[in-house]
Amino acid sequence: MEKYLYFRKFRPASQSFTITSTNVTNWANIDQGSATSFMEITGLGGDDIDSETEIASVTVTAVGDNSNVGSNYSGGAVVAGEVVTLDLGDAVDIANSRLRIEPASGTGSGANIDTANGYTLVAGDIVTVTLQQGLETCAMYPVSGLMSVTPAATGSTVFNFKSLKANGTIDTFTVAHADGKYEEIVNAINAIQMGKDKGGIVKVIDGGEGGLVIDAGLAGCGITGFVYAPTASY
Amino acid sequence: MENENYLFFADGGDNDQANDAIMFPASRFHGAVSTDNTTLEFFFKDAAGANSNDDISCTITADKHEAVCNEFASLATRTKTNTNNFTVISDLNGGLPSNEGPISAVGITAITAMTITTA
Repeated sequence: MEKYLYFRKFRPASQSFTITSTNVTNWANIDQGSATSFMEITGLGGDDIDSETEIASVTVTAVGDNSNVGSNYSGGAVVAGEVVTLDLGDAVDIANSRLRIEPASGTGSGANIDTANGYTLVAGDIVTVTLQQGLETCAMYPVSGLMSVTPAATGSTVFNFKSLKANGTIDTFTVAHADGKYEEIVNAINAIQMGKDKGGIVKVIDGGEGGLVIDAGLAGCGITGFVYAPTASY
Repeated sequence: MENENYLFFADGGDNDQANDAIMFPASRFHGAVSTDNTTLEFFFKDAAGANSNDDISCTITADKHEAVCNEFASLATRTKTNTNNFTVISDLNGGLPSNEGPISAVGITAITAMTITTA
């Protein structure tokens, strides 16, 4: 009987950034979060966050009164302690796990300024991003589509599957695990494939619902995350 | 394949136009992937052997990707011995007459809409 291997990233998750004066200096007149200071989301299993579909919300907690915010936020002036939820479509971008927020004012390119939905951050403001399931954050593949499992490093193993979208190519999951666990992983996958049907999916790694769940056969491998690389984006 | 499970999908149409509905042998399933918080896409090897595969893009209840995958796996692997119905993954067509055929289940209820695209 076919088995289905399931991979899910760590969602929901949230991370906060307290803006520094160095951030503000580096971000002058450009998208905030670019240049030499990033709001870089880390610690979620190793894969980059590249899609706005992965963001549930971005809020800013104002350290003090600020009148350099978009007109859609409290009429364009917030007070100390006020929490504003930013407009994801207009003011927030994400690429390579780096969060960028368009300012509401500045002297840079007009394309980087949004007087309605932007937010000009100041030192001490707290930005909180909450992540959800989104583009390519979870996937399920039949064991029959597994083409090979190969070590990439002492703490890294690559699962190669027949591609979802393009025949003749492969989709890969590079799984991070404790050092020296490659043989244990392939033994476990072999046992899963040969074993009794469990009546559902087999969780290679499931970071959903606020915790980490791994199939019992793989539980001793120290799996901590994965990078998913499908052949073509969706 | 003998005793193969056949998986059925139908959108809200009347099963009288191309891509209103489709049935695949379970062995042609390539996998599924989330594309946003409320979308899960299922891929099957295309019948015509095209380079790209057939895609069933399903709108689901928010954050229910795991539950839908789990239910899909259970349905796709269930024992078919001594039954003659195929397996309904999702049938969103509520307008068919009762004598239309053997479809007797709506399938995975967390699926609320779908778009069927064949290569």
